[in-house]
Amino acid sequence: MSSKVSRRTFMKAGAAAVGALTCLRPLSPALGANSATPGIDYERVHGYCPFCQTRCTFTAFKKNGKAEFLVGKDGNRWTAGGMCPKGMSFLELADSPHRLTRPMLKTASGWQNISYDEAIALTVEKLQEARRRHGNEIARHLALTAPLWDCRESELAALITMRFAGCINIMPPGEVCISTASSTLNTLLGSGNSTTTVDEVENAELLVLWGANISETYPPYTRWLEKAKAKGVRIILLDCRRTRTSNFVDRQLRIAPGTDGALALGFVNQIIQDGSYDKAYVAENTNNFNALVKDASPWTLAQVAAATDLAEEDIIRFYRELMNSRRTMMWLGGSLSRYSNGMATVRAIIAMQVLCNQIMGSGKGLLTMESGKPEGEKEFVDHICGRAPAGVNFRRLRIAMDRNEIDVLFLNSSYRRYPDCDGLKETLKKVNFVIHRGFFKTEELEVAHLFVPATFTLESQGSHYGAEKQVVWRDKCQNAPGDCVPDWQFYRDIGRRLEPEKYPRFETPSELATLFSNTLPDWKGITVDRLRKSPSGLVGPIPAINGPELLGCIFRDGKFRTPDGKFDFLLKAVGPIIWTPPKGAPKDKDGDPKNFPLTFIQGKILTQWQQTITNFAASLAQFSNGRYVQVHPETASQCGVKHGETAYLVTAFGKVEARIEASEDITPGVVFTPSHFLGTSPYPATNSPPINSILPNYWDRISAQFNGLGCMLQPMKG
Amino acid sequence: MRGVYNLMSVAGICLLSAVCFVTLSFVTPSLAADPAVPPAQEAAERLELNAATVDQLTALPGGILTKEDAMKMVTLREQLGNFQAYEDLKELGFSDEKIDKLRPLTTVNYMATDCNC
Repeated sequence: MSSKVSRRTFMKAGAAAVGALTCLRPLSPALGANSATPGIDYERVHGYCPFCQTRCTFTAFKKNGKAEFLVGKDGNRWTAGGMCPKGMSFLELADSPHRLTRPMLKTASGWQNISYDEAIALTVEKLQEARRRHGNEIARHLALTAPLWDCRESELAALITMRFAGCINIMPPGEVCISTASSTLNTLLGSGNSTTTVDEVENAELLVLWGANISETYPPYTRWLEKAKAKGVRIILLDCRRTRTSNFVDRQLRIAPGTDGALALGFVNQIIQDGSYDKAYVAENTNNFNALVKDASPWTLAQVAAATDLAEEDIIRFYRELMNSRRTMMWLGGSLSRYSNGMATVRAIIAMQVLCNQIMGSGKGLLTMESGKPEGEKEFVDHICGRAPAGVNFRRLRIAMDRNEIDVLFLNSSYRRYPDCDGLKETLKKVNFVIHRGFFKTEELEVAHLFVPATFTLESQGSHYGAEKQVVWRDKCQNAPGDCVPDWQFYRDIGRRLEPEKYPRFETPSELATLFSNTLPDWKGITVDRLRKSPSGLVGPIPAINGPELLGCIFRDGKFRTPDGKFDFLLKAVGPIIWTPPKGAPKDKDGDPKNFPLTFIQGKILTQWQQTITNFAASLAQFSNGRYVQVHPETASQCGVKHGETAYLVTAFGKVEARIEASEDITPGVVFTPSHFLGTSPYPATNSPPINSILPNYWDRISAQFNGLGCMLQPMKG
Repeated sequence: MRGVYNLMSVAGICLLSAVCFVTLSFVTPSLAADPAVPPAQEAAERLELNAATVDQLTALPGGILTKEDAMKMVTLREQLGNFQAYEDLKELGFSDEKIDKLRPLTTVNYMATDCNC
């Protein structure tokens, strides 16, 4: 590998420096969160970043009606004032010259600007038309793809409006993210998110980051790795790539992508065979242990090594560390859910912790990469609208769209988040009327009939929740340009016209938040006033006014939150834990190792979020340099491609151009590319066809598969 | 008198028949039920359609499902993510009668998509 420092390497180092500084302390320590710089009179406005589940809170320093800079709240116990470049980019994004600020209607002669009132009237008309056409069958003909809502009040307003419209098909964003983990946790443990709060890592003996690239995906949480190490906690990372997170761990196992379930089942088999699991605990607190014995029995050390590409001695050493640890926490990376074998993997890892009595108590448990949604939304919407049956999942929705059965679709999220996104685009074109909420010109406009611009976090009041089940608050800092409105207002305005007598009366998110808190018993103590005073937010549930937050392990009575309080190793709705390679992987029965011998993975990087917004920030584009693939130098050589040159990344379903970045930071035989690019970015550095255009429509029971497919690198010339 | 006796005998026979019929209906329900529908099993013993293999489906008593039926069911289940209700099987062209035969021997339980973000 060249010893020269390439521009890319330099820029990466720069980004790392910026990221590290940002994560560890505010950019302007002289200002801090609460200090005032002499001679400058700013209004301070509470805010939060709506991107990742770290849910950083900040103070926006406002002057002349606009935020001039943001400083992370150093009183936030979770982030200590850290923020990453993505959250900082809102200052630029709000004023971006590329921002769309007027509603638009697609006509025969192209997009035409219309007024906000016209957009609302048209939306209501389409919904009423659908109702007249389908009557009581309306539910089958309406759908909404949920985004990561900018605030809870937006989600509530949308759910209520959809319910009044007759729509029950709300597609959760987790279907293309980590719903496999949350659904499995919820079914097996009775709670779909982390079983404890992140501060408990300091009380563990062993912390396993299972595919959890904390420093890139939850940047301010890097401090928790540092704090854990300072307390003597041993940290092991399982990831085929060396990343920023690798700098904060004691040992890394570079496991083959998508094989984590085999490693977990091997451990389960090992401790069952040698009897070193917690027999008394298992006997008293679990059901169907024999089912687990049967599921794990095929996984000998040799089988695990063959599946994971790990050396047997490394596997044994890992197992010994697990067995010897008195307090083990496991951090489940989001990537685990993005293989078609995700459910087997998550079940096996949970089983590991249960067998060793490592779920309940201080310094034990499971952390996830999803938000700790404090619940209550369904109960609240049912209270307002009456109960409704469950809707369909996205796969059923896609079938319905293909059959021309969907009249109105609220496309609130990017369709490019789904695998086979080009095929999905053609399916979306069969929907009678698609309403898209967004900010910039993206590929969604190709399928939408109506576009209504949305607001950024600085432009609306509201609350949100983070990974620790904390609820945070923001106040409105500045006006949105043009006719941009927040989701809560858009859906409220529709709902008011559909059901003027029934729709809840609120003019601001704080009024809706108050109505919610007054309705749900567990929310009585989470008031807007109290939220405004808390830089960390408030960890729910808090049933009493001024009641305490409950941090740490959620299982306070020593029982799982299942009907009988026990953990069931048998998941009846799914069957045994059967681990196989990811669908289409080189080692899978559906794979084609001859033509696609490499393993494809994609993921987030520090400076970009999902497939939309941040691509439009020039300040973040400077840290990108177009689509690249990270590949080991040996693998590059075998493929006939060289570092720095452009090649094709090829799957059985398509190909994209990418620059080769040869690095020993990735294991041989694996190819990584960032997931964020889109084809309409105004900046070449972030412009590339969506990667999901070359991925097939593969799913596990719950979530879509984005990783683990066989692929190849081909030179562009010859 | 003899006519009255005959009438009373007939009425008594009818009444006795009715009693027997009702009694038998409660004691041995299968006798009154459609013989084409298998007897119900305890819920815990029933085959979960969202977890069943092709072999398990084909082995259901009464030969309700052929191997081809079973393979189609597993394929459909993968396409949909899970079965949410027996009505899903109508996608395969299963008749109501066929589905009714499956009900006492099977269950449909599924994991809803949960998202906390």
